[in-house]
Amino acid sequence: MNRLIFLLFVLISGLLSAYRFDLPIFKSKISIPKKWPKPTYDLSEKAISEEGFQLGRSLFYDPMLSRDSTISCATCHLQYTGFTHVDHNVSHGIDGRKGTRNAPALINLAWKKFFHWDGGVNHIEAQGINPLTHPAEMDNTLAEVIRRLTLNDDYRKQFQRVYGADEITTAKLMNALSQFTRSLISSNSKYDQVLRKEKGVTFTEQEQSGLVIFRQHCVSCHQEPLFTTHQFKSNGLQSDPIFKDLGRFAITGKVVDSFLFMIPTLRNIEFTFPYMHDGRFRKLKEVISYYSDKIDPANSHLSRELNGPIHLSDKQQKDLLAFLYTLTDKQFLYNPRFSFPKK
Amino acid sequence: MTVSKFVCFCLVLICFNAFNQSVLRFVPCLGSQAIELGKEYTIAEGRISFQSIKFYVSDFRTLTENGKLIKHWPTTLVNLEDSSSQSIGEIDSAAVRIDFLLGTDSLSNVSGILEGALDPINGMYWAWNSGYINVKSEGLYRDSTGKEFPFEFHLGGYLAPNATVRFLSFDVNPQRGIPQLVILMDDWLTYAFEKGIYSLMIPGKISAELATKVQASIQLTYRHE
Ligand code: HEC
Ligand code: HEC
Repeated sequence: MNRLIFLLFVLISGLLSAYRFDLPIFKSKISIPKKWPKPTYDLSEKAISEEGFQLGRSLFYDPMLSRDSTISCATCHLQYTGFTHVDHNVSHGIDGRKGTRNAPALINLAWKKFFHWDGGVNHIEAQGINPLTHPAEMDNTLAEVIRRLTLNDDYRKQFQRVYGADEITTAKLMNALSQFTRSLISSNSKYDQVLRKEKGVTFTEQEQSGLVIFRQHCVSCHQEPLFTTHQFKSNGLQSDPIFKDLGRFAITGKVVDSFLFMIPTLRNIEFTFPYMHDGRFRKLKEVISYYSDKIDPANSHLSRELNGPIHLSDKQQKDLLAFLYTLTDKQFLYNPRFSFPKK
Repeated sequence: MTVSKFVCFCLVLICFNAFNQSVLRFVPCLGSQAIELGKEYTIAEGRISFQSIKFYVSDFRTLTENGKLIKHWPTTLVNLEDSSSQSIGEIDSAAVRIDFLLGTDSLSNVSGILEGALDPINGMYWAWNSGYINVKSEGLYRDSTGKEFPFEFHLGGYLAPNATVRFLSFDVNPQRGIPQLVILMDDWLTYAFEKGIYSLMIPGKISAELATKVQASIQLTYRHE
């Protein structure tokens, strides 16, 4: 009996200590995956400190940043779905107001030069101003956000620790947010493991066939290993009748940029539905059947890389789908380092 | 040297300095009147009042006769709500030339979030299309029939060919009085109004064209105290 109690005691204290000590899953130092291109943004320890990352993470999950304290970045960018907004074609913000675009996944952002579907944002730090101040998103003012953070002792201490001064400024706020968003790196899918020739991991025959199809038809735009060239292109979608989104044209004013959108990454594509800038496809199968049969070759905006439907058989479509599923990186989607920070 | 002689010497020195240096100000005007926010003025058969006038001045420099740099100022935001922001600083008596950019240089527009005058909290930064608003002017125009036209000009954009930053350069002679840079607001506003443009909030050809008009509306004059 005594032994039983003793065993229980050991077990419980073991469980408790597992809660008390947040065992680091990853080192705070970010390692850039081998053979990947050089990132646009500095990922060294100089640019991203553990404290800076944690501050950015707190801010990302804090609804206090929105006007009525109901909406945080994570409301629209949910970790388990690759940091996108599931179940909404276009994202919903404060008071249920709808935006006009689908929230993109936040994956491997440190390699991007331009942000948003039209590339209107030219710096990862500048991006955060949009959601904070957009009437259909968090609808706040920068002055109010800074005021609230400054009144909060905990945040003031955190800013002090990261930046050596507790005065909170727009630049520091945006830098902190970006220390978190820059760290969202997904590079451990089955695809990566196979390419790294990790022991015991191989593609199935179906996945291998899908990879061949992918490299034949898709890779010119969805370039490996990031699965995007980061250019603006048209895959031939008809303009949506409601929002009449002109895409890149709205930024550059150049007619040739009409209806061009950023090429999104396909990493974790299994979970980042709905798809496209307006979220018009809910299932990955629909996307593949679109590329296979529904591209309108007469669409004058269609980019050169595609010149019409690519015509895949049912089997080929299934193979391609199977390959796309190998881009799922569970370690990224469930990494506790990126999840809601428990205080 | 006795104390009184020393004091005298200092006084002379101070006077000399006060005489030889003068604070240059930016003065938005309608005709010959310096604009005050909220006040009504006559403009092209109509009436006009301003809610805000704000613009960036970057790389302001004073130069000597042989082109040597005397002083360089960091970017400032001139904002009519705060009259102290209209003063750039003392112009040295040796200065024969001043030059500056009306607006922000292109590097500031691609460097993420900056501090001080360039902090987006100042309401001069576009979020959806990264970059600064170089010149902002908002208010109400009433034409001769009494019809009201609220106007909003946010001139910005750093990308060629529609960049809106403008370089200006003036000969200056501090002996002639206190130099000031007058912006003849009616020059460029009537140009826009005549084209039926009352609101402009995106970069593009028209913004670039208006920026050139604003540039042309700036003159160096002298004030005498
Ligand atoms: C109401 C929903 C909503 C909220 C809240 C929100 N976002 Fe977004 N986010 C979006 C949408 C929609 C887009 C795409 C905008 C566009 O393309 O015009 C986007 C785009 C982005 C991008 C660009 C991704 C890319 O690949 O270009 C980043 C980064 C981002 N958001 C981070 C954040 C951060 C940080 C916050 C919190 C400060 C936040 N978001 C809050 C909906 C939201
Ligand atoms: C011309 C370049 C190009 C080619 C080739 C191309 N795509 Fe795309 N893809 C795009 C663009 C651009 C978008 C975004 C379009 C939009 O939202 O309007 C996109 C979007 C997608 C999306 C939605 C991603 C998301 O997060 O919403 C998927 C999935 C996709 N493509 C898969 C494929 C597959 C599979 C192939 C090969 C059969 C392929 N693409 C070939 C340019 C291309």
